[in-house]
Amino acid sequence: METQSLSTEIRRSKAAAARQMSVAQRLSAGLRLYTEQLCVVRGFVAGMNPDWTELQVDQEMDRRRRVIDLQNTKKYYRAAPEIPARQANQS
Amino acid sequence: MSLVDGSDAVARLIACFAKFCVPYMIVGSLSSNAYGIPRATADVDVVVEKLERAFEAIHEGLPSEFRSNPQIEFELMTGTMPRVIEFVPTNFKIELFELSSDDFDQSRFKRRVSVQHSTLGDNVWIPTAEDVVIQKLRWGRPRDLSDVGDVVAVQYESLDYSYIQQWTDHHGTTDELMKIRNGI
Repeated sequence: METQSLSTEIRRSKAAAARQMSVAQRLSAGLRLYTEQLCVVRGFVAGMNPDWTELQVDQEMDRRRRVIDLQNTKKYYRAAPEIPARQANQS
Repeated sequence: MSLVDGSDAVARLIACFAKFCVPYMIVGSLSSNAYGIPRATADVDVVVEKLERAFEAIHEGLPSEFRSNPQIEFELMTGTMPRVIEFVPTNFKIELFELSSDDFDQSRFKRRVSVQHSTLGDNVWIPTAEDVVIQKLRWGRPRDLSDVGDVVAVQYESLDYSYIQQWTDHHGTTDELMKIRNGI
């Protein structure tokens, strides 16, 4: 319960910050955030493998990106059932 | 590996579609970011009225900047087959979906709105906030439901819930919507 109220509080705080941004700012923020995350991860990969060349770090990042791409393209969508109009009107 | 973000690819594509009058809208996490709490997104999904027309425009307007990926996947919800195109300078991938005959898909395309964006373009077409909520509820993956929560949290009072509920009743997702609204 405590964890849930904390997560609700965090979301409210993030929502308040998001409201200060314009639609246009929010629209492209995701692309920028993704690039920033990649930079951070690249820094970790290079730091954990100080003997690697830039090319080896790039190759490892490409490998990780392929793994994520593979997960993202997995089609495991839950198809919401269509409800006949008559039944929907009754509920 | 390039660390340039996808904005350039999206901007080039949008300019090309505008020039060749290709009706489109940006969907997926980029569109939910526009109304909710932005989160990192690696890909861009775009719905076009006609895939063939979109490819003609790309081949005519940006022949060397985009290449088509032969990979075709079947998307379960609307039965459409998205095509992946890759922005050559940065290897950024964009998934193109053809507008399906699904009633809701048709409706949200007709209701789409344009947003002025300093980098992406003057008229960037995206679904309305209500239609983003409806579609994400329909997908129903944990990440989609989290996005719905974010959109509701940011837009709360400005959303037209009577419109949303018309579709969620139809899709059988009203209970999920109520659960999310009550949790905000």
